[in-house]
Amino acid sequence: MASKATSHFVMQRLTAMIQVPLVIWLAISTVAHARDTHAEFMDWVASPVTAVLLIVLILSISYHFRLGLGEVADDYVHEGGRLKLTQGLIVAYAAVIAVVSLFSVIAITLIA
Amino acid sequence: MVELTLPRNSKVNGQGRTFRSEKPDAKLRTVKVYRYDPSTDENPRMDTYEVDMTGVSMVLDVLIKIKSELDPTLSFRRSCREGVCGSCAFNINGANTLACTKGLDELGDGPITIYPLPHMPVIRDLVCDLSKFYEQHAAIQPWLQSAAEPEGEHLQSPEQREKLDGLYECILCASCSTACPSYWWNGDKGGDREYLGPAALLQAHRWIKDSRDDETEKRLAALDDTFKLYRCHTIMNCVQVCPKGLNPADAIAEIKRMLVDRR
Ligand code: SF4
Ligand code: FES
Repeated sequence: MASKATSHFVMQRLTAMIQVPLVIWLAISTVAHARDTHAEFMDWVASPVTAVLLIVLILSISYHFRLGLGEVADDYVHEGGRLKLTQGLIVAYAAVIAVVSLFSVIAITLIA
Repeated sequence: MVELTLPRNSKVNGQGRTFRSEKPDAKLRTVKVYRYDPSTDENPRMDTYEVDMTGVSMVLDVLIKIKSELDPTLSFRRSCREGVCGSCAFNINGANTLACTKGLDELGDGPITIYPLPHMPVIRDLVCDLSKFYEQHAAIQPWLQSAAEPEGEHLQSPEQREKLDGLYECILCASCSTACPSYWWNGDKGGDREYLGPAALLQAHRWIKDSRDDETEKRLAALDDTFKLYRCHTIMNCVQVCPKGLNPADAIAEIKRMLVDRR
């Protein structure tokens, strides 16, 4: 029964909540691996836990990004056709970021 | 796109008039007031008045004094003079509030600047057109909707009645809605992409919370909308300015919470 509006509101908060621990984890981990060689770092990225967490983070961030920027468009782009076009471009941009990032993680996992 | 600057004919020109006091020994204070006369082609201007503050305590008294002693052409709305009717809301020293309950002692020592409520079409001087604001209030159906037809009154327990505290006291002065940037951008878009604003949403919540009303579900469904409700980004200007000390942001958050629970 929930409309798109309330689902949007819930997903914004849900993705934000997912990102809090994951971003802290990513920051601490990258600092901890700062002295790794390239090969060691690739091994870390390719380990199952890291790869899965990175994939969750990428999905969450790109979706959150699409929702957040969509809000800005809803606020400031008034004309109907232009609003639809802006929303479409935002979705496309978020999708490209997600696909490229996911591809990178998967490629590293397969190569390492 | 959203309009970030004023249209050309709304920009204040530098041709304000100055009314100097003839009583040099009096307790004088400078008051600058926005003036706009639709019967001329002139842009709005800021007039400056030197007002003797002897015996004056509220901003509305100052405006009345200006009108009766210095410049009878000044237009503004007022009625009750005690914070009940909601007609005297202006932007005073940068914040929306009621002129009749704003004490001069709350405004420091410098000049006092009075503008009409922000982002409203100005009819004349400090009088703005609130038709849209009232339409938005009407849109939330601010009346009791109940199938029950009791012999006497619709009864309510003291606890149920208490739930309306902080909601029913609103006097529809429009200070909150016209202080909200989201309302400035989205309050007058028209059609189905219009934000209702904090005042209308506070009243929507007032009827949602009323134990005697049967239409909670219908009311919530009507608000479940990207523009009507979800343009509130918790900026909180509404809470900051409400002259009755009400909390529209909290009412809006509660509506969102109820919509999430209802999924
Ligand atoms: S909530 Fe407060 S500021 Fe808003 S219209 Fe009601 S009384 Fe005025
Ligand atoms: S004159 Fe009625 S609220 Fe100010």
